[in-house]
Amino acid sequence: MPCGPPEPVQVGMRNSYRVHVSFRDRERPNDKIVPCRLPLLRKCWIEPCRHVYVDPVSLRRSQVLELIEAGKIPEERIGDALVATGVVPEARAWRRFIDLLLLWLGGMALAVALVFFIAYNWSELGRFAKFAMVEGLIVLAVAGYWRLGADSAAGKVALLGATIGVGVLLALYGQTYQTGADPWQLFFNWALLVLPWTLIARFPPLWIVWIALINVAMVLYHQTFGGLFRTLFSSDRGFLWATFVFNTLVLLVWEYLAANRRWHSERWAIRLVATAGGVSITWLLLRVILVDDGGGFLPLLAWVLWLIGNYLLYRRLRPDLFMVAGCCLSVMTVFVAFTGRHLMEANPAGAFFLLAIMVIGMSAASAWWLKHLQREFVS
Amino acid sequence: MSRLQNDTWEKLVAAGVTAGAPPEGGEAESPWFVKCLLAFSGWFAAWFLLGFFAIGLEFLLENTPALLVVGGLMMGGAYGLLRAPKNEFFEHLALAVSLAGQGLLICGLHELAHEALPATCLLVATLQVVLAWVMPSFVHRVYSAFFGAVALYMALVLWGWPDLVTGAVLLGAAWSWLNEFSFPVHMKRIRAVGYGLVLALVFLQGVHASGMRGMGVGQAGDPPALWIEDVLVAAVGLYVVWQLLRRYGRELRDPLAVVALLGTGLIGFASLEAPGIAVAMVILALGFAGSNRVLMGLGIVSLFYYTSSYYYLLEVTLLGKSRSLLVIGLLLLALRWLLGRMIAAMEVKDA
Repeated sequence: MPCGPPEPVQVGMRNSYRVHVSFRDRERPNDKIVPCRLPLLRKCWIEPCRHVYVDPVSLRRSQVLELIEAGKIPEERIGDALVATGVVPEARAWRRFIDLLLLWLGGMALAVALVFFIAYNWSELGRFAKFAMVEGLIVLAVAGYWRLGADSAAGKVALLGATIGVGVLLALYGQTYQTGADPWQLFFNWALLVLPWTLIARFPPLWIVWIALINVAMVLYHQTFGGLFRTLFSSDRGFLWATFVFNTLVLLVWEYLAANRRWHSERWAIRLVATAGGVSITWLLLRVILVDDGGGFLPLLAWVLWLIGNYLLYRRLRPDLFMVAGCCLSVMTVFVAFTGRHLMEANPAGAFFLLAIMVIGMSAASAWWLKHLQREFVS
Repeated sequence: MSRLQNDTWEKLVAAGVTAGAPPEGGEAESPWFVKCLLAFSGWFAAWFLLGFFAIGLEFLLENTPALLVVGGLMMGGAYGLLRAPKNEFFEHLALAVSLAGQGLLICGLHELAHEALPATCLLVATLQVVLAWVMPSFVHRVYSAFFGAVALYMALVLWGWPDLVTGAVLLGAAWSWLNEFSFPVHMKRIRAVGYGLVLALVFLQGVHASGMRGMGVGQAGDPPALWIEDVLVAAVGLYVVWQLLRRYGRELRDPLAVVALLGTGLIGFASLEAPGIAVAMVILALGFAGSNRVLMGLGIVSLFYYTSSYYYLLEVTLLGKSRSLLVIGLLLLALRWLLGRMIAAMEVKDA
């Protein structure tokens, strides 16, 4: 079973995976090394990833920097070293970069120009002309995607342009006919309408746009009705719960798919989704600590489970230092908020001093641990 | 030593740059997000320390000499801690103590300058230049470069010249990244300053685009002359492209060099009402030139931040913004088409 993206360079190789009852300590000498017996676990994302993701370009750059700083490369040969290792890109790479830069910026500038134009609501242009313009551009963009091909950069830009165009069309519809629809409906319908081509496009940025639309729809729904899924979450913490649950589920599905689909293995996209989930649960707990009185058991439990899940997933199964660092930040924030809330009223000056020392201590400990993990992942 | 590091070393040996066995790998540099964690915690700890001074040692804030002395001592102490053998706790402590000390010192300088804000901003900018050079910490230098650029911006806003800032900061950032490897002894210093200036650019572009020129510190005087800022940004763009062409041995007479320079000039001209796009393109090009993914990421963030702030800029109507973006979009696509044709023709000629 292939695990992890085939593209990134394998820096750290894990030769085997020890299956534990508790996952507590991978290095204990008496652990039996056995294959995972559960078919689902063996087949899917829970299977440990043998690849530690490291961006090869960044790693090579940092290695060359390290060698220069250590004086291992003579000063007069630094230019040659940069060329030989590819830190200074060759002419062909520049051509590709400029081509993509001009294409993406040009395409997106046109799409944003359309958004601004419709938002201006220019009265001298009739509504039929406006509809014809927006619909015509969407058709043109989709035709461009079909003509240019799903794998070409130009095709992807065209599809992203068409996705933005659908939102503009919905906004124009609401603006023209004054439908009285709530703002969340615009984003939700937008997400619904672009879902088919998001599914077939196999293009991570489009999925990120789709996930962002759902998140915005959830937040706007909450603002309109004062709570999402009232029956499940009774207070106005609802949207934080909803964004946490949604983004965490998306993350798990994405990690599962990343195991055997190269286009799904873009780490920046996975990290973005994980950040959205992490921010939601941390914010929820901060709200419990700083604003609400009581009702903190469920958020606390969810936060602890989220931390444990992240630790198991991103230290043991799919090593990713970014995710672990995010957890450290969340722990620091929650602890500082909790301490501040309880000490500030009694002795503000002392509380401030203690909080400063706490932040410094926890960040130093986090940095030490993260460096240790970095060595473990890369060596 | 990892396989990739061996591979890097082998490439260097093959190119005749180095010889012998690969050296033992030292302590790997922390990734950007770990540095961000350090910066974030240092910032918060500094605010907590300032809170402690404001409440616990209130008398200190009312005494200008005491502010200057305590602030200076804290910064000196931080310098000492950073010079000491590497220790995680002391490094974090030093950053927080230095930032809090700077806060106290700036309050003292403000009092010393008879609460004249432009003079204070200029003093702060000068102080940050010194700190960026002296403080032996990467994150501290990034902070110093960032604060220095923002202080300079505020000073120029108060003097009524806000349009000089973007060009000046972009020029500083461009010089830093183009000369990253030119002075090996100061490489870390130059890199930190480069990041600080780019972060300041991203921040200031957002401030400009959202119409919050001056950030509440004062009035910029007459309506801003947008074209000065745009001309400066375009000039820096041309400087960057020219330097990169020189790096690859292209001369001015070279058709590709002419097209590249003309194209850059046209982009600068087309983005007269949306200079943030040209700024983001320069950051992206600088990042690519040094295989620096973090810098390229900052260029993309700058682009998103600028575009979303640009929507709220009141100085230009949405119709005007739409027209500018339409022109920029069409120009970029036309340039891409032209370059594609030229390169294809050159490849046929070479073959």
